Amino acid sequence: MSQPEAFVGSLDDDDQGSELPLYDTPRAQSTLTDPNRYDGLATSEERGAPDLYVLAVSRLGYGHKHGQRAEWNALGANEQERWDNYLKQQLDPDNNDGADAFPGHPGTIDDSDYTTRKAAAGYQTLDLTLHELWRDYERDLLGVTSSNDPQEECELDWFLRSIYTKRQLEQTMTEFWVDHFNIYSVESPTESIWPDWVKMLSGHAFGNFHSLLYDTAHHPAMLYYLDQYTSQFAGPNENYARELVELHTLGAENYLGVLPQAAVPNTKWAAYSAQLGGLFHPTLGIPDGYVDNDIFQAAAALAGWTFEGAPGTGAGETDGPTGGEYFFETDWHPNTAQMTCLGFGVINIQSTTPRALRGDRVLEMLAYHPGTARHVCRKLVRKFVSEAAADQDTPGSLVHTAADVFFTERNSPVQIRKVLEHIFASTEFLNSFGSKIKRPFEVIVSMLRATRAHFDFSLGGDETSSFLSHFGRTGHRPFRWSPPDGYPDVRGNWETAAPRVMTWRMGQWFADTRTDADNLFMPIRTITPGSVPRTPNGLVDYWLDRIFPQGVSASYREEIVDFMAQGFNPDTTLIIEDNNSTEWRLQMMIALIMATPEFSER
Amino acid sequence: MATTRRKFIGGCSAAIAAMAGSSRISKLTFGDPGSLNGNVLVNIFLRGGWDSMNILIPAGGADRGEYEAARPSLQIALPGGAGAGDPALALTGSASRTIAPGIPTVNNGGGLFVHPRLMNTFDVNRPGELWDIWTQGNLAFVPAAGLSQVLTRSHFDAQEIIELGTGTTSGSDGWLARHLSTNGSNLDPEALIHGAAIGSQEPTSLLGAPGTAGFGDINTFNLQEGYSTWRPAMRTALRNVIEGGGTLNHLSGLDSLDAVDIIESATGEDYTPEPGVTYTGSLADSLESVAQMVKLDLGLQVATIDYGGWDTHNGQGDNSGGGFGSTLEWVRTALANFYLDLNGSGSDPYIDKVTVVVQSEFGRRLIENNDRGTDHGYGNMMMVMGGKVNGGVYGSWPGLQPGDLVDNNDLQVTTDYRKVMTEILVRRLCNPNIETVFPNYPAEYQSTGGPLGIVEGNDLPITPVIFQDGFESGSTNAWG
Repeated sequence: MSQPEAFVGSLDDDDQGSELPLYDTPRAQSTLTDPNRYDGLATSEERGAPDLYVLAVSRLGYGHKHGQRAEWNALGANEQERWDNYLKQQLDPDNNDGADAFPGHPGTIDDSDYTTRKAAAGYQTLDLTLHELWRDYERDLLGVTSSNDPQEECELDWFLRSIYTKRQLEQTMTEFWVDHFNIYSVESPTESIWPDWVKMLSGHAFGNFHSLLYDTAHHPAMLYYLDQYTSQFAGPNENYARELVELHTLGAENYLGVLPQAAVPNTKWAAYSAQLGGLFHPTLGIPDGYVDNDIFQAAAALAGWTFEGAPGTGAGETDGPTGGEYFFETDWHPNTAQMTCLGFGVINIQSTTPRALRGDRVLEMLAYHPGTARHVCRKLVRKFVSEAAADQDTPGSLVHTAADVFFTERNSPVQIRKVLEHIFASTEFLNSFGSKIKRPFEVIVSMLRATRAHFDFSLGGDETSSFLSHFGRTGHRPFRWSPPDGYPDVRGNWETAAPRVMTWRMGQWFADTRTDADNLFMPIRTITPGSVPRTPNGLVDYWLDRIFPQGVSASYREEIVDFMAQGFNPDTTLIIEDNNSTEWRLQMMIALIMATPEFSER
Repeated sequence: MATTRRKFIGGCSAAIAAMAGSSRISKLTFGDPGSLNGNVLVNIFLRGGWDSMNILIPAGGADRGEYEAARPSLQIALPGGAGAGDPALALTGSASRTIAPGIPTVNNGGGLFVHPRLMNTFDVNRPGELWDIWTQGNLAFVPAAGLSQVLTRSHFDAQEIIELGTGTTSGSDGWLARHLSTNGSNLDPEALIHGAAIGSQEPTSLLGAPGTAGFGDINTFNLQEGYSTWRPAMRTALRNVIEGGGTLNHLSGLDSLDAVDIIESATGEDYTPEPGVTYTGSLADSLESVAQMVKLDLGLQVATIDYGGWDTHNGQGDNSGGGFGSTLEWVRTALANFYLDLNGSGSDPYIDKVTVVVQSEFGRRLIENNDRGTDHGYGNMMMVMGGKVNGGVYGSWPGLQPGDLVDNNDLQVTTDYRKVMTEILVRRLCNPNIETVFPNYPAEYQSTGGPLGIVEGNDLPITPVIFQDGFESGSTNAWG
C-alpha cells in the first residue's frame, strides 16, 4: 500500500509550530556483547539532533505532555530563549533563590493542574509533620488509622505528581535523591513517616548537598533502615556508616580496601586541600580515599544517633511531644571517646568535641571531600546525560568539570542547581538524545502524560490496587528497592525481559481497564479531536504526532498504520463506537506504540 | 503437563520459524545436537552476605573457643553441650560423603557442624528433606569459599566482581553470559532460551547473554492482557517494529519478545509438581519456575535466582533461633522440594541433569556486634546440590586463631568461587573455554590442583592452557 513520504503535519492545535524531523534510524553495529553496549543507539548527530524542546521534556522530566509544546513556545521568541527560560523556571520554580536569583526569571510556575488533582485525590497524610505522622499513624493510640496509609498515599501521589506537575525537573531531581539515598519503605515504622522523608528530599532538590546529607542522616527513616538507631559505641553497628561513605558520599570509586589509615596516599586531591581550611589534616591534607578503618571510626562517631521511640531501644520518649524525631542517646556514647576518621591515623575527632556533634564532623568531611563531588556528579551525569559520559574520568571530562562546580559551590544554598546548570550547558548533554531509555516508571508515566488519560490515584479508588500490583511486576514500583543502592540507572538492567515484558503487559492492561462506572481510563476514541479523520492514516498520524515530539521514521509509521488498517485501505473511514471491536483496536494501538523501543528512547 | 518444547516446535508458527533464523541466534555456533547432555546450572545468589560462620560451625578445638568468645549471643550449641537452642548437626563422612583432607574432622578435635535449621532431622518420615539429600550424598559444602582476588567488604563491589568474573569491577558482560556465548556447541540449536534470570532484575552474571529470558514468575510472564481480539495482531506489529530497528534497544527487545512467545506457549496449563512437593516462599517459587523450564525441555542451560535477606547487622537471632534461622529454613525447604520435584520417581530423573550452586558475596565478621548482629566480613561458603554431585565437605578450613584471620577480623578465603564454578562448567556443561569465562584463571585452577571432585563428569583440556614450557596443551584430559 502506498504511504505518504513525509510525516503528516501536526493536527493538534496545542502543538502548532512543532517541527517534526523525519529520520531513518541507522543500523547500529553493536551486538548485545559489544563492550560499548550503551553506545548501541544511533547518536543524535547521526540522525540530526532533536530540538531543545525534546531534550527539555524527555530528560528534565517525564516526557512530552499533550499541549506542552504550546507552553514552551510561549517562553520565548526562539528556541534558545525558550530553553533558557525553561531552565530558569524549572531550576527555581518559586523564583525565590534570593541572591542567586536568575536575571529575567520568567515567573513562577502555575502548578494548579497538579495541585487540583492532588486535592481531589483526598490524601490525608502528605502535609503532616514528622511528629504528627509518628503520633497519628505509627503510634495511633486511639486505634483509628492504618499505619501504612502514609506510604500508600505517598506512592500514589508520586505517580500523580510525575504525570501532572509542571515542576518536572524538581520531581526528577527528587527521584534522583530518592534513589541516591534509597530506603525500602514498606515496613514499620518507615511506612508511617514516609511522606516526611520524601518531602524533605524534595525540599533539597536543587539545594546544598551538606544540608541534604545532614537531614538524611538525622531522619528516622534512614536511622531505622540502616540500623543506626540501635548502634552503641561498644560494638557499633556499621551498616549506616558503610553505606553513608560507600553510597551517599565518597562512593565505592574512592574505596581503597583494607589498608591502615596511615598508608592512605594524599596526592590525588592536593589541589583542593588549601580551600578546605582545617577540615582535614593540617599538613597531610585530604586522603585519596577511604579504608575499612574509616568506616569503623565513622560508626563509632555516629554511635548514639537514634530517634525518640526507636523500637526496642528505650531511646527518648515514645509518646512525648517530639516522638519520632531525632534523638541523641548519651548513654550509648562515652564522653571520653575520640576517633580518627579520614585522618591518616591521627586523632581528629577529639573527646573535647561534644559527643552529640562527633558524627557531624564525619558528615562535614564526607560532604566536602572532593571525592564526594566526583561520585555525586558522576551519578548526575549518568542520570541526565549518558553512561558513556559518566564513565569518563579524565581531566576536563564533564564529570570532572561538574565536580569542580560542586566543590566550588559547596557552601551555596543552590549548590546542586549550579551543578545542573553546568551539566545542561555542556555539549555532552546537548548531543545525548537517545543515549538513555525510559525505566518502567517513566514508560507508564509518559504514556499517561501523552494521552492525558485520567487515573485519579486515590487511596481505594477504582482499580488503584490493580494498577499498583500490575506495575509492581515491572520491578520498578516506587520506594520498594530493598538494597541501599537504589534502582539502577544503567540501561542494561532494564533492557531485559522481565521489566520490559511486564511493562508491555501493564500498557495492555491499561488499554482495556475501566472505572466502576464502566468508563475507560484511557478513552482514546473520545480524546481524539473531532477534526481528526477516522481513518487508519488519520488516527495514526494524529497519535504519533501527539506522542513523539521527536518524530518517527516512515517505516515505523507504516507498521502502526498496518495494525490499524488490518489489510484494508488506510484511508477507509473506520466505524469506531463505544466498546466495538474497532475501538478495542484503537486502544491496543496505544499499547502497541508504548511497547515499541522507539517510545522508550529518551 | 503442559506442552513440551519439542511438541511446541512441531506446531510452530511462521513467526517462531523466522525467529530461529534471526541474527540473534546466529551469534552462536551449534554442534551436533546428538551430543547434548541437557545439563543445567542453577546459580542461587544470596544477596547481602550470609553469616556462614553460623552455618558451618566450628565444633571443637581452639577454634571452638574463639567462636564462642566472639559470639556470646549468637553462638550455636553443640549436641550434648552447654548453651541454648537447638544444637548443630555433625557433618560426618561416609562411603557416599567425602570429607576433604583440609577439613578438620570430628575425630581430630576440630570438625564443622551445620546449623540445625538448614538441615533439620526432626521430621524423619518426610522424604527428600535436605538432610536426606546430604545422607544420600547429593549435597556438598565448601567452607571458606568466596572472592579470593580482592578483599572488599562492599556488597556492591563484591557482587560485581564475582558476577563479572574478571577480578575487577570492570567488564561489559557477566561470567555466565560469556559461558553461554562460548558454549554454543553444547546448546540445543532448536531451543531459544538458554539462560533464565528469575527475578525482577537480571543479575550482572547474565548481563549481555544471548537467548535469555527473565521473569519473576513464569506463570505471569505473558502478554495475556488487553483486548484479546487484537492481541495477536498487536504482537505481530510489535515484532515487525522491533525487527525493523537496529539499535540495542531493538535487539534486546527481540530477546524479550522471543522469550515471552516461547514461555507463553509452553505454560498454558497450571504446573503440577511431583506428589509431596510444596513450593512455599519466594525462593521456592523461583525454583518452581526453574523446575517447570527444565521439565518443559526448553533448552535451558543456566538459571539464576537472587534471594535476599542476609544483611544481618541487627538482631539476627540468638543461637539457632530468630530471623537468620528462619531464612535458612526457607533455603532448606526450597532446595529440598526442588530436589524432590526433579528427582521424581522414575529412572533417569531430571535432577541428574541439574546442579544447584548457592553462593553469597561475602561472609560476616567473626565477632558479633552490640546489636546481636554481624557486620560485613570476607570468607564465606558455597553449597552444591544435584543428582551428579559427590556429597561431602570440600576445600580447606583456614582456622579462627588470631593469626588465621584476615585483617584480624574475618575468615580467610581458601577456595575461590571460580574453582567450584569451573569444575561445574567443565564437567557438567562441557565448556572448556574457561579463559574466556574467567580471564587469567585457568593457570591458578591448574596450580591449585584443578577440580575438587564435587561433581561427576569428564575433565576437558581447558582452553587455552599454556604450560610453562610455552606449548599449548595437547592433552585430552588435563586433570586426569
